[in-house]
Amino acid sequence: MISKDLTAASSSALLLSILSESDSYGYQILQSVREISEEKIAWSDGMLYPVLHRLEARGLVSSYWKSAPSGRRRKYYRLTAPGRKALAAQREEWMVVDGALKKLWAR
Amino acid sequence: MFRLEEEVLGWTRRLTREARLAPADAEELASHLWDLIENDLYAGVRPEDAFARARSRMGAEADIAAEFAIVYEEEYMDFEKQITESRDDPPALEALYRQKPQAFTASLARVLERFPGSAVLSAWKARLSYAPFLADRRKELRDLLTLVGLCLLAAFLSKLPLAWGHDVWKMDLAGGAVYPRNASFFFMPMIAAFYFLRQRSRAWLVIVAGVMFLAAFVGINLMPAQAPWQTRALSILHLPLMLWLVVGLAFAGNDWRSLPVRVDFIRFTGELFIYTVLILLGGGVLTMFTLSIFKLIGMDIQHDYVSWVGVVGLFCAPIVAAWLTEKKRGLADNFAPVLSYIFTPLFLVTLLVFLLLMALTGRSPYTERESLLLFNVMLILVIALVVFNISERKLTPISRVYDPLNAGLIAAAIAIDAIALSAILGRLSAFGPSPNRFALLGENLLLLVNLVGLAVQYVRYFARAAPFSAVENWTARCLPLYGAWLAVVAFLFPVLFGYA
Repeated sequence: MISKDLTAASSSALLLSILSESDSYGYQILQSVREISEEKIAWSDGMLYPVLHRLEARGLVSSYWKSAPSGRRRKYYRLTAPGRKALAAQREEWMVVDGALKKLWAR
Repeated sequence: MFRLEEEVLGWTRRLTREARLAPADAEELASHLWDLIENDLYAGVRPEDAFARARSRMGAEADIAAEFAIVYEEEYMDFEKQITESRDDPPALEALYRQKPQAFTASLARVLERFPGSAVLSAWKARLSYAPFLADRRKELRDLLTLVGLCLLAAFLSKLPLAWGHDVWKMDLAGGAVYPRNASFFFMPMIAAFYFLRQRSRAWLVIVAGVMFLAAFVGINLMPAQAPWQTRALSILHLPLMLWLVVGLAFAGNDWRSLPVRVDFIRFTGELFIYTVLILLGGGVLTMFTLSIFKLIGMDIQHDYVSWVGVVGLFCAPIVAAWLTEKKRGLADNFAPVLSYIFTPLFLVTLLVFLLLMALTGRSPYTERESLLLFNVMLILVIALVVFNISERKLTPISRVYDPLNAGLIAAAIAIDAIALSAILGRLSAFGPSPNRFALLGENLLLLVNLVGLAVQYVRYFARAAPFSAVENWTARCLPLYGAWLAVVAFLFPVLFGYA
């Protein structure tokens, strides 16, 4: 399991990356996170939404409601142009960390 | 028995009530909860277990509440910060307000506490917390009651001819044409009364208007007539227009001399016309619907419905429209100027093509009496278009574009009026005098005065020799002239031409 601090730190990069593939809603986003991390990154489901809302307040994602076939409404999130820029910047940072750690541990 | 839907509903309600989440956010979380539950149900888990598992995966409600409280606070602070930064920038404030009106209202009070001296923010506060003063609300109620009373009066008066056996269906000139002759009296005095009751007009104005209505009523109904009924037809056509100018007197009240108020009256006429048409369209739909559903149960009520509901509705519509126009005045954009902006270019193109074709083919449309009347209506429409265009002119670029368009429209209208005048003079010399020809002659001369005056004022304005208000006020100056001529045609012509 990933520690709480690292989970929090990586959340924005994870969410933006998932949304860069396609628009999605909370439940589906969490499923993707679980799948891709082989259940090692696990957020409490309720905690996802404050993070999404913060991203929205910063203008990195936008949201819209869409009705599912069952008639229930779901709130979808979409990556905005500033969000795409932010993702590219974060990717650079994570690459630097990743590369540095890899080099250190290869010695 | 475990009731899953109620449990989920209760959970959602706790989020909004106890955790103070925004309803939309609670709905989003509930949707997520349902996804979790449905997933379990699909795998064969019992509903109560599925609900318990989903709940624990969502996390404690208190944690969710705490986390969202932070998010809300951040959004709130962020918004407050934006308002604070834009406090001297009215356009930016307007943008913020349009973005989130409720959050803006909530944040404004707190920002204003820190900057009590900010005039812009104070203005916003006054605007957002504005509650109509009690006196205004009383006035509104009084207007509404006046309207109901006047409509009842209109309903009563419009059915009164029945007492003498005059049915609304008998419209022919030889048969007296009671309804066409008196139609104006079933709603115009009510609109005049509406204005007299609203504003404190001098008593003599009320008396003058009252006497005019009464004299017109007695005059038109006692006026003898004989075949070929030309003077009666003219009276019926001209009386409503003349009486409408008496309504204008009531509209203007003590300011009846003021040209801007008269321009206002022309604008009011346009608005009233549009509202009336809209109301009548609605009434038409309602009538069709009513008649069909009664037909379903085998009752044909068309005759009674039209002669009661239809007639009363017809005369109440303009009164209601007057009240509506007054209620919306200053609140909403006017219809008439918007429509005139759309139709001015179209009208101009139509007139130019028409003039061109007339010149090329050498055909004159002015051989028929009806076409002469039709073209007078068109000239009046041109003047109305120009008045609406210039009365809403707010020195915006679009208005500047319309100055040359207006000038072109006026020029084309003058050309058409000149052709009309020559046709009338030709008919007068060829066939001798008749009431119709003289009426048309007078009207076209008046329209020519109005149009040429407009053109002259426009040229003076373009040459910077006169302010724009001179253009605006010219038509208003002409109104009493129109009134006088309309009265002459309606009342003096029958006498002069032996009631023929």
